[in-house]
Amino acid sequence: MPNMLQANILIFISIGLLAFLYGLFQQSFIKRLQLQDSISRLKSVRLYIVLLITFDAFLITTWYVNTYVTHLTYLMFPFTLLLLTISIIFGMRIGLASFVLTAPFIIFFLIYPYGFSQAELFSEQSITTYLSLLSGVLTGTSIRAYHRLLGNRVDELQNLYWQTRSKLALTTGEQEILQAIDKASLAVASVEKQSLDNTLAIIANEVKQLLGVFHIGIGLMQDGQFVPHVVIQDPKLLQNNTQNTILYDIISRILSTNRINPIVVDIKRASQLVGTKKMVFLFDKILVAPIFANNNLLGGIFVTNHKEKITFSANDIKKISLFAAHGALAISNAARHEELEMLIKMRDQFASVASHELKTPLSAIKLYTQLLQNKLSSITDVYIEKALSTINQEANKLTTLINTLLDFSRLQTGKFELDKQRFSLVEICKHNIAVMQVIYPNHRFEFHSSVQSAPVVADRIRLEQVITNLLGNAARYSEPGTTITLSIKKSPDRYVISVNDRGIGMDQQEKAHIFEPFFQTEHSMKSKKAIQGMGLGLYISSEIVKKHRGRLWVESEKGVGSTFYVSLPTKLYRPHGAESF
Amino acid sequence: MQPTVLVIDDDQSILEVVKIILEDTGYHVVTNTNGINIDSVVTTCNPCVILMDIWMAKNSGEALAKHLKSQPSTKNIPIILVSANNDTAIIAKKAGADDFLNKPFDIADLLSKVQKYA
Repeated sequence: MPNMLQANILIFISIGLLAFLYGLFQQSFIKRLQLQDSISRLKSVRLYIVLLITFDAFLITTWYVNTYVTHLTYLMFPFTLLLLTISIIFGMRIGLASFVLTAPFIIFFLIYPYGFSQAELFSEQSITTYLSLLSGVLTGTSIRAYHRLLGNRVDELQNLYWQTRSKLALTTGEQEILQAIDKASLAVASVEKQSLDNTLAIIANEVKQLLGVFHIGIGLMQDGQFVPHVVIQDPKLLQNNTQNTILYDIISRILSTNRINPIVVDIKRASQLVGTKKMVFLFDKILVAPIFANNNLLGGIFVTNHKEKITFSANDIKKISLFAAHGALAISNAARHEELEMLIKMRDQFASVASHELKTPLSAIKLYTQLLQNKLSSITDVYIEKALSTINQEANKLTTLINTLLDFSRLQTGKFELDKQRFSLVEICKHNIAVMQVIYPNHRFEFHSSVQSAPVVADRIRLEQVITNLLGNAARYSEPGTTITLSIKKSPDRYVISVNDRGIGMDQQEKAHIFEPFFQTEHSMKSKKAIQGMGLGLYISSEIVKKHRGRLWVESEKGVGSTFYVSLPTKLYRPHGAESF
Repeated sequence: MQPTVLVIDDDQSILEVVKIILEDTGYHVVTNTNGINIDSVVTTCNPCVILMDIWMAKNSGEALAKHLKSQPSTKNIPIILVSANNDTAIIAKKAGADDFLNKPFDIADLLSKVQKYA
């Protein structure tokens, strides 16, 4: 039977060993904690630490109770537990200090309350007490050390986890935007007229993804009205036509205020403004971003909110502005592309029309010349007369065509000059009417003037050219038998010459382009018929009028007829003899 | 009986000179400006060959040729499309015309083309 000291040392070693093994276990547990461990797992580790401490306390309590319950010295137990607790909570120093304070107290007041000698300080009882209390301090300290290690590791991991997670979130957000911009930019870079809507669709899609909305549209402004080109809508949130019409009306109004920055608008208030109180929408807010290029409002992007996205953040507004800029690029690129294509088309058409127009009179000249060569001996005088007059006539046509080309070239190079003289506008109008009546005998030409002579100082030949051009057009684009009226009116400082016909007339589109060089009506472009001349006459006329500080314009209605107006200042004279106006 | 040639153009000078040339060679020539009322003109004169301009002020020779070639009563009448265009051959082929003539042409070209069909 081992004595009490041996038993105590054994217990002490056993507890130490147990604590050591326990520490090893915890250490391996700590090492196994990884960054990948989810937050919930880390949280459960915290709980685990609390459970461990409880378990520690339980373990040690059981040991001591089992060991000391048979001894009288079981009184030591609460003190050992006290030191253990103090060591866990405050660490080794405080634990040892408590030991130094506690040991004499126990020895003096509990073990030897009735008599004490110096030898008793190192008696078996006393050493057992010291060991017991020390074991409490040491176990507590080691538990504390391990737990701190574990706690630190958990904190460290938790911090690392949050850092990485927020970094990740940041980069994914930026990455998404970058990718979206990339896609949109690529699409914009390759934009052509026919793919404009495709590009806008790509942009719309990116905005939809980035902002997390269900309803988005991109459109262009046409005559002050927002015309949607691309609309993406959730099938479950489809709007009817009336809702759409009102929505687009509201967007038109927002965009028409010419604001530059995107704006969030309350749809209820806005629909009251357009006078439709009763309309119910599936959303209550719209974010509208205008699309601007070179200070011109081209169109806009709109998105609507929904249950999961109640409002739009500053970030949303920033994102949508970014894509509005892309939209602007796409639209202006497409316009530029269209313009370029138009120019190429015009150039090609001009080449073919010009060669056609030049070759046609040549055909007649060539055939008559050959006829004269072949039949010179047998041909009658009447034939010769006919042939020669036609050759002359066709040569004149060629000359006119070549002059037109020359005029055009001079206008293009800025070498077009006026040769001024004093003459009467009434006189040249009368003369032109007479000439035209001979060329177009089946039309009725009329002339009215509110003034006697209308004297001007101007380029007579050029103004005659303008009037001839307008009268000729009137005759060509109206049926024989109809009346063409030329008139002159005088306002205080201007003469207004007008040429009215009852011909085929023009629509808005044609009217907009009729004074551009090489313009052929849409009708003649499509069917390749009714091509008359090279499409330069009106352009040259309008340039001549401009050089006289005047204006040439047209009023026309499809199927009713057209009236061309030339307005010239009455004082077309500069006393210091400027070469040109 | 003289074979009839129908000549359609919007240019009066061309119509006149072609008429002189073909009549002198022994054809009966009917001229028509701009291809107006082409169906009735073709039915009335029953031509052996039609010589038609492509770009006319009031009609497209290409469209008229297509029209004639689609009608059972006129589809067998040879059509020669004439133009100062640079791509007369292609247009003639597209329109289903039998032949083409580029302006400006020689008397010899004109006669050889017409003689092929009449």
